[in-house]
Amino acid sequence: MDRRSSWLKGVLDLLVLAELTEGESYGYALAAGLDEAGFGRIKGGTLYPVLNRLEEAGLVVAEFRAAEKGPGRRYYHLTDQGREVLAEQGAAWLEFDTSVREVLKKGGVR
Amino acid sequence: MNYLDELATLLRERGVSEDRIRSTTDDLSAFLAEGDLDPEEEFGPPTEFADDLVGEEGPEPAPESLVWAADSFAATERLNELGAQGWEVDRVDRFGRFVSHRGEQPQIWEYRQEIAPGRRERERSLGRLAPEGWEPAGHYFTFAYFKRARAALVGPAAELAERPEPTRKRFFWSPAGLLTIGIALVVLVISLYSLGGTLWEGDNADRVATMAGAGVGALIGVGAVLGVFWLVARVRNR
Repeated sequence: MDRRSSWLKGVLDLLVLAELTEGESYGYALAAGLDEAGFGRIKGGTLYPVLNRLEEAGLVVAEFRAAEKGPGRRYYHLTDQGREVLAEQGAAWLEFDTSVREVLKKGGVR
Repeated sequence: MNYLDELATLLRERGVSEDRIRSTTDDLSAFLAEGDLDPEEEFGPPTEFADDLVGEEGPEPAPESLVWAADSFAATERLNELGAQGWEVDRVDRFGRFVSHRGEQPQIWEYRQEIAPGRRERERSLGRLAPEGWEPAGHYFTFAYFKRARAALVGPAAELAERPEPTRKRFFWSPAGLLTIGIALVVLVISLYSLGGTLWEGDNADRVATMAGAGVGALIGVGAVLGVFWLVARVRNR
C-alpha cells in the first residue's frame, strides 16, 4: 500500500461524511467530488465498503431509487449521529494534523 | 458469469438479503456505467469485495504463544535461546512459568535473570539496568527477569528472517537444578523422619516443644536463604 492510500484509509470515512453535509449524494458522485478535491480517483472497491460501514453504524442512511432508464442508485444522506461523529472525529483529525505539521516544521519541512 | 452476478452469488452466500443484493448490484452497475469502468479493475477480486462489503475483514492473526519453564540454573540460557527465535516473555505466571508470544514480524530478544527478592530490590535492579535498554519481564520468588529487544542495539538487523519451530519440550532442567532439588528432597525426608520419630516417642510436653523447635528451625532456614539472596541483591544493586 502506498503512503497516500494508507493516509486516505484513516480519513476516508470523515471525507465522505463531510461531502454529505451539503446534501444527499450517491457513490459515483461522491468519488467524483473527492477526485475534484485532489484525492485522486477513489475506486469503488475502496469507497463502497466505507459507505456500508457508515450505513451500518447509523451515520448515513441509504435510500434506493429506481431509475426510469438503466439501473437504480442508492442515495446516501447524513444522520444526526453522522453529523455528531463528523464534528467530533473531524476535530480530532485537525488536532492530529496540527501536531504533524508542527513536528514536520521543526524538521525543516516547508 | 459476469462480475456483478458473481458478486450477487457471493453476497447471498454471506447471508445478505435479496433486496439488499439487488439494490447493491443495481447501484454498482450504475456506478460502472457512469464512469464507463471495468468492474474487476474498479472493485477488485469479487470474493474480497464481497467480504469488504459485508464487513468481514477476517480476524487478526493471533500471535503464537508459548508457556514454558526452566530451573533458575538453566533459565538465562534457555530464555536467550528462545529469545533468539523471536519469543518475547510477557510475564512469569504464579507457577514460575514464562508466558511468551511471537508476533507477525518476530525480532530477537535478550534476557537476564537477577537475584532481587522483594519489590524494592526489583526496582533497584530495574534502575540499574534500564539505562542499558532492559525492561521488566516478570518475577518469581527471589528472581526478577528482564528483557531487551536486540533492536535497541542493532536496529533492523534484529528482525528475524525465519521463525524456527519451538521444541516440544516445555520444561528445561539443568544438572545443577536437579542436584539442588535432589539434595533439598533428601534433607526434607531426613528432617520429617527425625521429626516424626521424636513426636512418636516423646510425651505431650516434648511434642509441643519439638513442633515449636521445628517451626523456628524452618523459619531460620528460610530466613537464612532469603538473607543471602537479599545480601547478594544489595551488593549487586549498590
